[in-house]
Amino acid sequence: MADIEQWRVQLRKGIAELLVLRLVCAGSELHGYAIVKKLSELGELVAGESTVYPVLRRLEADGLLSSRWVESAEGPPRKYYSISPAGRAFLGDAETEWQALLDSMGRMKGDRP
Amino acid sequence: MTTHQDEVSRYLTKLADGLGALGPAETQEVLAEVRSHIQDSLSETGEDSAVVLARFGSPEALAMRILEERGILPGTSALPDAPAWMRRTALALDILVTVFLLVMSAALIAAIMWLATSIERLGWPLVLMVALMPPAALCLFWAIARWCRARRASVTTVGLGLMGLRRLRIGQSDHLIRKRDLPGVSVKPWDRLHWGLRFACLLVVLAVLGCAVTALAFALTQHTSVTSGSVALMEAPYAVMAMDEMSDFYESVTTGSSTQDIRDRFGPQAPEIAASLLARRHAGKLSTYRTGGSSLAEYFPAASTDTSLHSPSEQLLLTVDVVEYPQGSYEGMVYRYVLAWTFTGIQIDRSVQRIEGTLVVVSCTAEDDDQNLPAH
Repeated sequence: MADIEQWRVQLRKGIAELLVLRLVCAGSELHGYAIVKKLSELGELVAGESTVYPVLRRLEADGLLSSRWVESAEGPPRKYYSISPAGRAFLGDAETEWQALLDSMGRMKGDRP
Repeated sequence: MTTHQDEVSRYLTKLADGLGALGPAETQEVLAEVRSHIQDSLSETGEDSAVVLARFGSPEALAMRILEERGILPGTSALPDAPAWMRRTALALDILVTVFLLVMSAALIAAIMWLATSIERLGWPLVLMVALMPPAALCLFWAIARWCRARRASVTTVGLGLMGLRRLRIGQSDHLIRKRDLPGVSVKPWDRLHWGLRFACLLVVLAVLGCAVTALAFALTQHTSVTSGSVALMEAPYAVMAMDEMSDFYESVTTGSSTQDIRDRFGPQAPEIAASLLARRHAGKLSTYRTGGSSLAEYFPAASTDTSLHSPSEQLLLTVDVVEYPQGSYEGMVYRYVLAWTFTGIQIDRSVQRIEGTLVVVSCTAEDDDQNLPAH
């Protein structure tokens, strides 16, 4: 029997990249804790710490995000992320693809002629 | 708070262990970011650290996800192994360094053992200093290794460093990968030069150490052999000793030492010679005396040229002339004493040489009495 939880994990992994880029793009600079917190406010489907940080590493390595360390008076230094020009371009393409996917799903369900 | 910190530290340690393939720089970044997140979460929510850590998942799983996202898959390496010729060259360099270190260590141990047999001559401080050098070097090496491990610095071998390679554990196997192929590792232009300088410094230090120990051993050997060879050729030490001995003999006899004391001090023939001396004194023939020259006995023909005369139990015959003056007279009678010197050793204390042995009085004849010359 198919495991819905496994599917959910795979789905989260698939959209986490899009969600993180969209979130970072909406603000000027965000650190990892803030990103996770904002994503958790969106609902249960979104990704948690165990997904977000690996995605952040990859997005930065791919050049879609840039980062800088900022010393904090309250504790350890924080790493702030901002979207790069390449990231903006990628986000635009990804959202176009995502919308196309949603349209296809809608047509399959018969919501649209 | 201490418990929370311990829990977080343990988590981060395990996470670091799982991120080995990332390289030390990127691993430290990940740890710093996770640490910062945990701190923010604890400060803001007041949750227990276990709850916060649970949201990250197990450190092994988190490390694996990070490596997956970075293209380094567990069990297989997305990174190319270093070319075979680089791996073999690194191994050859490591073997060369190891052999060199073993040879130098063996030489140092041999020098220490040789020095240990010369403690009395060299003194305890010098021997202890040399003997403590290998354990001190081992302690220093251990401290450096601990420091590197505490800072998660990459501890690698000389060969790997010179060839620009790094050993990584990916999954269940070890791989040798070129540093420039590692993600997140920036290879600086002076990296290999840095390693080359370290290697050169190590060789120079070991070479200087080896030369110093060898030079010390050689100098001591030379010193000893020169000293040994010169003992038999020098009459001066014997002359001084012999004249001192005769002065002591006359002093002992004229001050009334017992026969047993004289026998013990100057040999079995000495009491009879002492009795004659005492008789001359009572007869007024001996008021003052003066020790004259001393020499190796002429009837021991090889003495002056025998360079091997420095082994134990070798015996020399020495002569000392003593001039005895009666009361109120400047005309003295020369008595020739023959002393037997038995060599037992040389005591060398820094630059001072002392000859050790026993000296006994063998015979005494008046200068003009040839019939009583001692036979050899």
